[in-house]
Amino acid sequence: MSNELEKKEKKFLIKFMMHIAMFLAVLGLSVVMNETNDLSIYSTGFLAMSPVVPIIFLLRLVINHYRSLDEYIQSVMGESLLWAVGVVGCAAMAYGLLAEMVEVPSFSPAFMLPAIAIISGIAQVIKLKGNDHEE
Amino acid sequence: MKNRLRVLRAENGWSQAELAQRLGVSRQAVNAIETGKHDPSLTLAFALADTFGQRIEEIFMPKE
Repeated sequence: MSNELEKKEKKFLIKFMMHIAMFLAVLGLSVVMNETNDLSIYSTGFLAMSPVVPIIFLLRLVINHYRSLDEYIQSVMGESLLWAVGVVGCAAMAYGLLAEMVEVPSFSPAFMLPAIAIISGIAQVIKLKGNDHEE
Repeated sequence: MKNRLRVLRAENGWSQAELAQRLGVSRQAVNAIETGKHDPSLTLAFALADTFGQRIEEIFMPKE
């Protein structure tokens, strides 16, 4: 990878980690405030959803980073995301259909975005693995 | 699509990383084009042709 691309990648990783730290801070704050204060239903709802805000900023960061990548990495990322959405979507559908028929343990939809991100990352690594060595 | 990228790169004595730097793309992109895993866009094909001082059809040719 060229120096310019490496610098861009490092800058992106730092910003990414800062957004994750912001998300964890907001999540922690919302949990603590909800547990220690007797808040109205609206305030509780607002606090419960507040960690989504840094995630929206994170999404914007990732989209901007995607736009700055070269066409090959963009195609790999796009295909990986399709795999991830497909796998998580099929799993969610299977779970939903199963839940209609039998008793199943409850599952929070809050884990769907992290699941998509993790599966997409794994798919990217697998797809790029073949290009690691110079022939 | 077939291409002569590896040959041209070797003639110039460039590594994949060096060529990638000249083109402003990742090394993985150069590798994927060389191995035929990825067909470059017209913009990148023109950039490659310009880098090697050749015409696009002298670098890329359709698979028979």
